[in-house]
Amino acid sequence: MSDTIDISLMRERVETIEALPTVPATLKQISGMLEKPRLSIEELGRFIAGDPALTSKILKMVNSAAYGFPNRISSISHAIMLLGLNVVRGLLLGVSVFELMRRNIEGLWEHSLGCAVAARWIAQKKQVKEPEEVSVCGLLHDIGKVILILHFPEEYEKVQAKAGKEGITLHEAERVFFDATHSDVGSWLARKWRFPVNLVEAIEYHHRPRLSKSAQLETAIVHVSDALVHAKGIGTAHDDLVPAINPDAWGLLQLSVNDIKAVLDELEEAASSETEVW
Amino acid sequence: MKGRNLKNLDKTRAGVNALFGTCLADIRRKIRYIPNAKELKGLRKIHPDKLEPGMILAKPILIGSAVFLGEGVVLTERLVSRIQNMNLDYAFVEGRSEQDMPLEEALALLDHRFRNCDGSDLMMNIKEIVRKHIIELYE
Repeated sequence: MSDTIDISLMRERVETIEALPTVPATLKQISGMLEKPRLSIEELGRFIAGDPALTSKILKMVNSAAYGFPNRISSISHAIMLLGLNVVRGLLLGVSVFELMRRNIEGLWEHSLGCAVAARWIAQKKQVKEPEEVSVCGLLHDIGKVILILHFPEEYEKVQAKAGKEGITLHEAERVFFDATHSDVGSWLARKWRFPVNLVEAIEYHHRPRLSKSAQLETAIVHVSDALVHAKGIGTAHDDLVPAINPDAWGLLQLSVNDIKAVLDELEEAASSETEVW
Repeated sequence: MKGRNLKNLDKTRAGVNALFGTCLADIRRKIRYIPNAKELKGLRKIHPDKLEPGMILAKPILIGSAVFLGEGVVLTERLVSRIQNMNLDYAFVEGRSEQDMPLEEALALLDHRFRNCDGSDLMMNIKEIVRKHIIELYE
């Protein structure tokens, strides 16, 4: 008899995020919005515009280094036009879990933003058609950690303690307490919220990029960005070990020494720029 | 005679190709513009409230599309207060942000972060690049 939390029970609990009292009302509302099968641009625009705080957070984000349109986007409709519906849906989720990330897991928000910056740089370098989408993958890749901590606060505290004590990553420690990890949990929700397959797979396989079937490049980019942000030491308060890079994912990206230096410089620049999103 | 003309033509063609090729490469670079990390190096984005006399603007400050203060301008007390009255979100000045710990400590933390990667050449190579990057930040 295992002490771990059973995977089907876990999935059921995670997917009924609306029923959880510790999830703030805005996030529940957003979750409902993201689930809609045919969400129109106007509907999403109206929803965000109805909340001035949310609007200003999203605009700060799109005008920051992570999205590369400094000071150019002044309205949500402009953002949707330039970045696309999926990117703005991802950002809406990102900024709404921001407070939860800050409050519950120290350093996770900085780490996520760092991944968004690194992923965008690498995606551009690799000439991915929509680098902003890959950036959103970087921003949301660890969203499962937030959800795990909201649903299983006591167990997750033990996970964090175990990782710290034994010098293992959170991903490894999660396996001891749960039948699934933050990457599984994140991908369940990403599917429930109808995110595109590249985002779902980048979240699901960012620790095991070889398993990605339809988004190998995006998953490899998020996997390597995750490691580089850890290597640089951004937001490592919650998990300071650099995860080992998978050689196949590394081979797929073919990054030169200068590319890695450029990503590190970009991270330094973004982290030292005094914008409110950091 | 004919042979010489052909030779000249070849030369011209090679010349045009070389010239045009460079232009094309240049145009391609401009279209797919990725801000070069070197261009960003030594540039700091700060809130106007944190500007001080003596700082050097790394990017111009614009009013509409007109340049109010150009790149390279050394700020005086008067300029600082004028910029602060412009309601800008930020300005770019030269210089790196202050590193918040001594170099030795930053390198010790780097070792600590990579403590499980000893057996991997790939990870050790990355660690070395990060180590050089950190040292450069302190220079």
